[in-house]
Parts: sequence; C-alpha cells; structure tokens
Amino acid sequence: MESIIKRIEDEIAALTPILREEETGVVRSTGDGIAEIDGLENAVMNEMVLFDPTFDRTLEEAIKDETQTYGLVLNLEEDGVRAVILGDSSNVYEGMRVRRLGRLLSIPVGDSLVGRVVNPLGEPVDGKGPILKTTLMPIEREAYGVMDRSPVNVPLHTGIKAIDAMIPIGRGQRELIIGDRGVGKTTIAIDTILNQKSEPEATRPICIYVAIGQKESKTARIVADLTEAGAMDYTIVVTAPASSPAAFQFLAPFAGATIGEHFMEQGKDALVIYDDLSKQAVAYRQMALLLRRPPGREAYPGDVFYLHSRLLERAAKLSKEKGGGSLTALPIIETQEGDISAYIPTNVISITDGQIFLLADLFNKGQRPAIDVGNSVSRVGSSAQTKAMKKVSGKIKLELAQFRELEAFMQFASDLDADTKKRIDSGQRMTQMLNQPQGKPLPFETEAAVIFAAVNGYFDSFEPSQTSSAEVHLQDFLQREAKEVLEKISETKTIDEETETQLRTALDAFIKRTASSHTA
Amino acid sequence: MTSTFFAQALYNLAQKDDANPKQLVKKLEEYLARKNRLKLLPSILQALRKIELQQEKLTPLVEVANEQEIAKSLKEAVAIGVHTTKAKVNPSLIAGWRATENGKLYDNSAKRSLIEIYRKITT
Ligand SMILES: Nc1ncnc2c1ncn2[C@@H]1O[C@H](COP(=O)(O)OP(=O)(O)O)[C@@H](O)[C@H]1O
Ligand SMILES: [Mg+2]
Repeated sequence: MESIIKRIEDEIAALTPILREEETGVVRSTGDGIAEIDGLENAVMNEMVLFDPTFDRTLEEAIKDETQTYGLVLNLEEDGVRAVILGDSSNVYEGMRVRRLGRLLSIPVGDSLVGRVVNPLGEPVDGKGPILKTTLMPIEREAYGVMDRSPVNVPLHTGIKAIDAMIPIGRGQRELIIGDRGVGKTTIAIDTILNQKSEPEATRPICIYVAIGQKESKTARIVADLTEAGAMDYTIVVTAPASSPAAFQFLAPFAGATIGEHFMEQGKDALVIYDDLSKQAVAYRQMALLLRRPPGREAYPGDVFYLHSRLLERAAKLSKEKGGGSLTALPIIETQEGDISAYIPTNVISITDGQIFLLADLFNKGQRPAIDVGNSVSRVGSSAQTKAMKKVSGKIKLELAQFRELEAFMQFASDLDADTKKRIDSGQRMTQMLNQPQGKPLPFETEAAVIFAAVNGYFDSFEPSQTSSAEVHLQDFLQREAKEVLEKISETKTIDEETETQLRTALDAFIKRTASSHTA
Repeated sequence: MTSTFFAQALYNLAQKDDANPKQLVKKLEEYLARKNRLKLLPSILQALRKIELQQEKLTPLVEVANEQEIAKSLKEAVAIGVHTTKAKVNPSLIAGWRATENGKLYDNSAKRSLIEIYRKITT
C-alpha cells in the first residue's frame, strides 16, 4: 500500500507538463465490426489505432473503465480510413476520437507465454493473470531471405509411424495437413505436440497451437488434454474461436507466427500449427466484403494467395550466423468431399513443402491415421531423416504402392496365385502395422524398431488382421526387455550392425514368446 | 462533380456575416428547379456536409480547464502553431489545455497525464 502511494507521489512529482502531439480522427460510422474514420491522413496499412473513450469523459469515468479498444487500418481512402475493430465493437461510437499509435499491429511476445492461452492480440484468456516480461513485436514482418537460411537438416518427429517413415518432416519445413472434416487432421497436429515430450528438453521445440474459428469447447478440450499430458509445459495456444470477430480469426495465424519467431530468433526450435487456414480465408473474405474490396475467385479477395504465402514464408531454418533456430509450420486445410483442386487448397499446396493427405474413405475403413500415402509427399524432410529411420523406411513406400495396385486388381480376380496372395498379405500387414491410435505418439527409436520388424518379416507369423495388436505387444515387449537397444538407437540415431544383431535377437525372442503363448 | 461546385459556392455564401442559410437553400432550390436540375439537390447537400466536416477539422479549437487559464493557454497554443482567439472551457480537463486542429490533437491537460499515470501504476 505505502509503496504504491510512494510511487504515485514520485510519478506526480516528476510530472512536468508534457505536450502530446498526436494525429487523431473521428469515427464517422460503425457497423459489422468496421469503423469508418474521418481524418488520419497519414495512417498506413496495418497500423494500429486506439479508439479513445477518455477524450469525451471525465477523469473518474475514464479510470473506471479500463477497456482499450484497438483498430487495425486496412483501407486508406480519400477522406479517411476504414479500420476493423479489434474487440467489442459496441465500445466504438460515432463521433469518437481515434488516435494513431504510430506502430503496426503488434503483440507482446516472450518466454513467459509458454503454458498460456492467449487471443490474437496476445491477451491472456485462461484466467491465469497477466503475462509479464514481454516485448512488443509487429505481427506482420518480412520473412528471412535466402542468405539467412540454412537447408532443413534436423528432423521434427511427429511420433506417428506413417509420417516419420514415409513423409518425414524437418525443422523449419512447411508441411500441409489436408483432408475433409473429421478425418483426423487436428489429431495428427495434437499428437505431434504430445510427441515433443519425448525429445530431450534442450532441443525440444516450443509448440504453438493456433485454433482458428473452432468451437470454444473443442479448444478447451484440447488445452485440457495437453495440460493433462504435461505438454502445456512447452506449448502456447492462440485462440480465435468461431464466435470471435472475423478480424481475430484473420489475425490469429500471424500472431502464432510472431510468437514462434521469438523462439526461433533465440536459436531455439519452434513448431506452429494453424488449425485451420480454410477458416482464416473465410474470415478474410468476410472482412474484405465489409471493406468493399472487389471479390475474385470463389468470392475470395484477390490477395488471399498472398495472405497465405506471406504467412508460410515465415517458417524457416535459420543459418548458423543467425543462431540456427527454426520455425516449423503445419498448416491445416479442410477440403469439401476430398476436393484438393479448389482455390484455397491449390494455393496452399503450392506454397508448402509437401502435404499429408487424409482420406475419408480410408478413415471409414478403419485405417487411422487415414493417410493417403500415394498422394502425400514431403519435399525436403528426407534430408533431415535419421539414418535409423532411413534404413527401415525405404522399403515401405514401394511395398505399399504395389499393394494398392494389387488391391484394386484383387476386386476382379477370382482366385489368386500363392505369390500374389503372399504379397497382398504382406501389404495388409504393413498397413495394419502403420495404424496408430489417437494420443499415442511413439518415440522415434520405437518407431524405427517396429518398422524394422515389419519390413524384415517378423510379423509374417501373424494373420494380417492381427498385425495391429501384435505391433502393440511388440512395443511393450521392447520397452520391457530390450530397453538398451532402444536407447542405443535413440542415442546414435542409427542402427549399426551390432545394434541390428541385438535388435534381431530381441525380435526372435518376441516371436518365440508369442508363438508359445498362442499354443499354450 | 457539379454538386461539389454548387456545394462550395453555397458554403462560401453561407460564410458571409449577413448570410441566412435557410434563405440560401431556398434560393438554390428555385434555381435548380428553373434549370430542371432539382435531382442534384441531395448530392449537393451531401457534398456541403463534407465541406463542413472538413472545415470543422481545419478550424482550430482550444479547450481549457478553467476561465483563468484562457489567456495563457491561447498563448501557448499559438506558440505551437494553433492560431485562434477563442477558447472553450472544459472543466473535465482538470488543469491545462488541449487543442485540435487539422486532424492533430495537442494534449497538455492534467486529465490525460493522470490517466496515463493511473494506467502505468495499475498495469
Ligand atoms: N488415429 C486415430 N485413431 C482413432 N481415432 C481417431 C484417430 N484420429 C482421429 N480420430 C478420431 O476422429 C475424429 C475426428 O478427428 P479430428 O482430428 O478432430 O478430425 P479433423 O480435425 O480432421 O476434423 C475424432 O473423434 C478423433 O478422436
Ligand atoms: Mg480439426
């Protein structure tokens, strides 16, 4: 108490009348979350303005109401500007004073954001009090140039076998997750966050999950799951729910990128997930209509491509000179009936370094994750794949491709020769082995060992339909009885001759054990 | 475009000391009717409103916290380039003055300082 009074005294004593000179405008009209403002002739695009209620109020009224409503200038017009109201538009009225703040829209970033849930302005929405020790960063920034970047060379393990083996992602990469509603896109993203727990703390990426246009209850569920798993210790959630203004949903990904860059620029690794950019595009379309911008294809404004490209450009692996940090981006796009040739999907596919394509058909058939391996690629990640994973994964993709052909052919053939039957069984085993339940990402050494077992025929003694359960048993077995082998793979990131021998011994023992338990 | 010219002419006439705004609008109406261009009236009035707003923005306005500070405040305002001989009393400023002119706000009031101190201490 006393210290507060002392501080007030000091502040007042130090008070010399300072003359503030500011450019102000007056709200001409408001509606649909947009304010038309007279004046502000020198305002620039993306500048932040403050709707200042204190101008017309007494001191007492002014300090009683602490709401600060900001606006983002998006249209420069002949006799004024048009700005989106960032917050409750009922706080903005005709005739209200608007102050230029002289800075582009910025949000507070810092290490202290970790574990928190914030809105796109960086304000906490988790009821855990203010976030201290932050610095303001503009949310739109020029991306790093080629000279400041290094090739992707460190893996970002998702803990999902099918992805880490066949569509590997590297730190600093942009990999799109695309598919219809309800096919497991969010699940892949969240499992990837969960999996970072098995990374050593020193190199564990800070994860940023950006929820755009989602139901609040769904995001709350995700935060609860992450908390329960201990994953909020290294995660930040940015949320702009479906109920929030379109401007928030439009801004949220940029806020996520800005938060991620803070960590990247300290030489750390960060992972940002945009769930999803389809909803961001819809929010942008809505804003553009209100701002009377001419609509283009599918009624999206003409620069929606640029919107996504400048966002995804910010993912990077920085050069050693720049500290070597990285920002990996996993944007999500929701398709309608699997149509990846629509406007927004084709745009984002062309901007990213590959895509993980999920199919409703596969999902409904019980293949989970429902990845369409044939149409999924990662264009840069394989150079970051560990030797261990490279060694075991080479064969899978080819075998699965052949299997898919045979499977199609199978529908017409009445009886199959023994060789074809064998190959179909093998393909089915491989597909089954790659199934993985939600919320169970695997450390990469376990993935490598299990896939090693599959490609070397260790599941051949099981019925194809039993492979999934056998695979789970094998995981348990390795955890219990072959811990050193797993640790060695984890440490050396490779499977050398000696390790291979040890692994084979363990796998033989597993087969023997399960065989005897079958007969018993 | 034509409406803007009419509006500007109307505005200029209205600025004269002996001007009678109602009379002016009536005369304009008659004139337009004679020329068969009555359709222009709404857009002329709209353009006039725009000019008025523009002028309002350009016109310097000085507000002072109390009567006693008027002379001193006007002098200080002139020093920073706001030239006017009239000031409005606005007690909510508590002390000091503020001026608006041509889209600029010059705020020298105690109210603003106190709000800033309050925010600084409470956040
Ligand atoms: N690998 C999986 N195993 C089992 N269920 C899954 C798996 N992936 C997703 N699901 C379930 O499928 C449903 C849709 O998943 P979700 O990730 O929300 O889809 P999307 O984000 O594509 O709309 C959820 O109920 C989720 O629990
Ligand atoms: Mg989802």
